[in-house]
Amino acid sequence: MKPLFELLKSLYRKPVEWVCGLLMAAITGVVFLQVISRYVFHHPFDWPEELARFLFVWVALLGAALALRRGAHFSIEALVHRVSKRGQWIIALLIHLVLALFILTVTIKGFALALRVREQLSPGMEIPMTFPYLAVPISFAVMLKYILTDIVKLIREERDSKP
Amino acid sequence: MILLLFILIGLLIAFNAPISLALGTASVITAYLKGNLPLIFIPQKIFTSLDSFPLLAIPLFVLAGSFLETGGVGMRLVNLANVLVRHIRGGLGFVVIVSTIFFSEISGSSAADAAAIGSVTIPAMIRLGYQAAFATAIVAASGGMAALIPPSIIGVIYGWQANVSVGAIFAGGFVPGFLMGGGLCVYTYFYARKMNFPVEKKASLGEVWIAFRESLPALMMPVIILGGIFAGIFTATEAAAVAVVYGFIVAVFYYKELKLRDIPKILVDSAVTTGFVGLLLGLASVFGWVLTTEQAPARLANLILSLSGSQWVFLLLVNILFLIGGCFLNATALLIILVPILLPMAERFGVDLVHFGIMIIANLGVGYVTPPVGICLYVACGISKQPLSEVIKPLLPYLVVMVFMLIFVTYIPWLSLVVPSLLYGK
Repeated sequence: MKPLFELLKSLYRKPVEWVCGLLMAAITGVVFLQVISRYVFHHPFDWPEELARFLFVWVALLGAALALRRGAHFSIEALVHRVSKRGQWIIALLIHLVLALFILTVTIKGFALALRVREQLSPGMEIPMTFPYLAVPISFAVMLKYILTDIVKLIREERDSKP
Repeated sequence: MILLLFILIGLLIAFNAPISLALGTASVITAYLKGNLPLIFIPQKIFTSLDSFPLLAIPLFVLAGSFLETGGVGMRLVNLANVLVRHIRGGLGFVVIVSTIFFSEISGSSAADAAAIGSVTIPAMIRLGYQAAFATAIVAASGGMAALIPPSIIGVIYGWQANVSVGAIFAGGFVPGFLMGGGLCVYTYFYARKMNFPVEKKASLGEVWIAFRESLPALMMPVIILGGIFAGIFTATEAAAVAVVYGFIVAVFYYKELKLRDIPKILVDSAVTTGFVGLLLGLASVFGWVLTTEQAPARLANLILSLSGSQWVFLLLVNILFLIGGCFLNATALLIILVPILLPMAERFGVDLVHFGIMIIANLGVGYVTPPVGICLYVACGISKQPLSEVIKPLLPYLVVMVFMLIFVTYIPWLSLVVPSLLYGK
């Protein structure tokens, strides 16, 4: 009972991690299946390649959101240290707001695009192209959530540091 | 407009924005100010750039590499290298170089190579009385060399960008990679003689046999991956998937060092690495699209051509650009940003695109080692707990050797092309 509870708790707390992990496993399985289908059954299916590509788009973008939260997106820090504490705070806030605005734009345009392609069917699996295209707005929405959390944190820190 | 685009990118990066988002944000601001570029193209570009079967090799190579890194393969390969070369003066230095070559034929990431080999060899070298800073330097330099040895993730990315076969890029890296490894070995030998490093007893044939048997399942992996790709049995992406499955089986059931409960973390970490590269690729294509609407690559090519028509000068400029850029930017980011701009020029100058790719990968290999942001240097320093300032001195001669080898790779295209032309008859 307890392991199941732990599992549910981690599912609830880290849904994006779970989806990413499962996507990675699925990609491996699907591409492997493609090799097997060609060499063992001598009959290549045409859907695994397409499915694997769509799963990759999803994992690349959702993984990017996770990378953003973990701070794995490499950046240069040397220049910022020359500015005063107050100046650093203003710059950090400004950059966060500009990036948030960019991410918001991509999210909105991404949803618009995903809706626009709903009548198009993918050539292999014949599913609406909305499903693969949704990877863009949904991942950027997750990024938006992370960056807004950072902005709230920045503002709180500044407020709390005042006497 | 182009100037504005680059100023914005520079500003955003200088103020700590992630490179990928800086590229995207600057491109969107430029596109918005121009007015005639519809913003719906942004998600479109992101999607179509990532919707590619060759790029799928990236998450798979990352995953295969982390299975083996956690699965005790690094230690076996170090053991094998140890019994083969430990009797030469400075033996452990050679062990690092040789085992990194073994490991990088399995893994697609230089950082993973440096981590897997460094975590075993650095403590061992310190125990045997090598200076910690020297141990760190040689692990970092070997990681840089490993960029050339196939398979490599940057090779997959370049192949996709330049629309050349990933198999040809992998094949092209062999000779330059071994040449660079040879260069590192030669310097290590002379340094070890000068410093009078300890010599160990030559291993008996029995010891060699045991070490070989222990690492055989790991050694089979490059045979399957590279053999499969070069023989045309699988594409690079399919080979990567086979590598994941094989690596999983070897690590879990043969070496039994990878525990099933470690798997979720490895999957998620690989997704994060993929995401880092994926977002860069997606947003760099938005950047490339804005650049192209301004005809910037073509105009820049004309400018360079008007300065000098010589291929020799062009290649020199590209090397300088990558060497300087490699000091300040993450190597993968540098590749993704610069290659789309440079490709039209390389074609105009009549440079073979496979050779051009190998040359760029060699540059990135040096970039992995140059401070302050060389990833292999970081990994090695993280293992040995040495500050960067201590490591610079022993590292410098290795960097000189690497740049020297880079010059060979740049001006002798044959080195990069001999294996691909043997395999693919080009």
